[in-house]
Amino acid sequence: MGAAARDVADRVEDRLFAAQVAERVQALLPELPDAQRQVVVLRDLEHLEAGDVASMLGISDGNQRVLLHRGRTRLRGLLAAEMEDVR
Amino acid sequence: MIRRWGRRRRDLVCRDAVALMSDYVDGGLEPEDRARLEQHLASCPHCTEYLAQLRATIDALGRAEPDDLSDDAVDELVRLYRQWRTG
Repeated sequence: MGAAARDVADRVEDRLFAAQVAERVQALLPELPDAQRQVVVLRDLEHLEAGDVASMLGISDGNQRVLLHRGRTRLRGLLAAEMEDVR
Repeated sequence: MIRRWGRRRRDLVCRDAVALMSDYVDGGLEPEDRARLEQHLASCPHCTEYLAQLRATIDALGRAEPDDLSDDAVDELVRLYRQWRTG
């Protein structure tokens, strides 16, 4: 395979992998406690501003940040565990 | 004894680094904290890998379409938006 073809193949593989990860991360969302899931969905999936999410959920900015941190961290851990299983 | 002490100190630093990563990805860290984290990342391959996984998780969430969410997740989202609008 030439360099250009290899480049295309790599990009296709990256895209397929990215699509798989996106599918898995959504499937894992129900694993999060309610408050963490709500903040993660509104911030990272709906792309709302931090202040809007805090006011929407009736929580402080600090609490919003903590819930987002915990939710993202938990999802990272769950995904990493799945990747380990695949290897 | 010295070795154990050293390991405990490093663990604490990595834990602190992880605690800052979600805000770091959002560009929300104070300059001093950002500099401390970047200094740690420059010498810690584990935290660098962890940060890459966290970014990949957030990217994957960002690629998800609300249409791809489970029925329960969509219901929850609609409820939150309605509550916000009427609240």
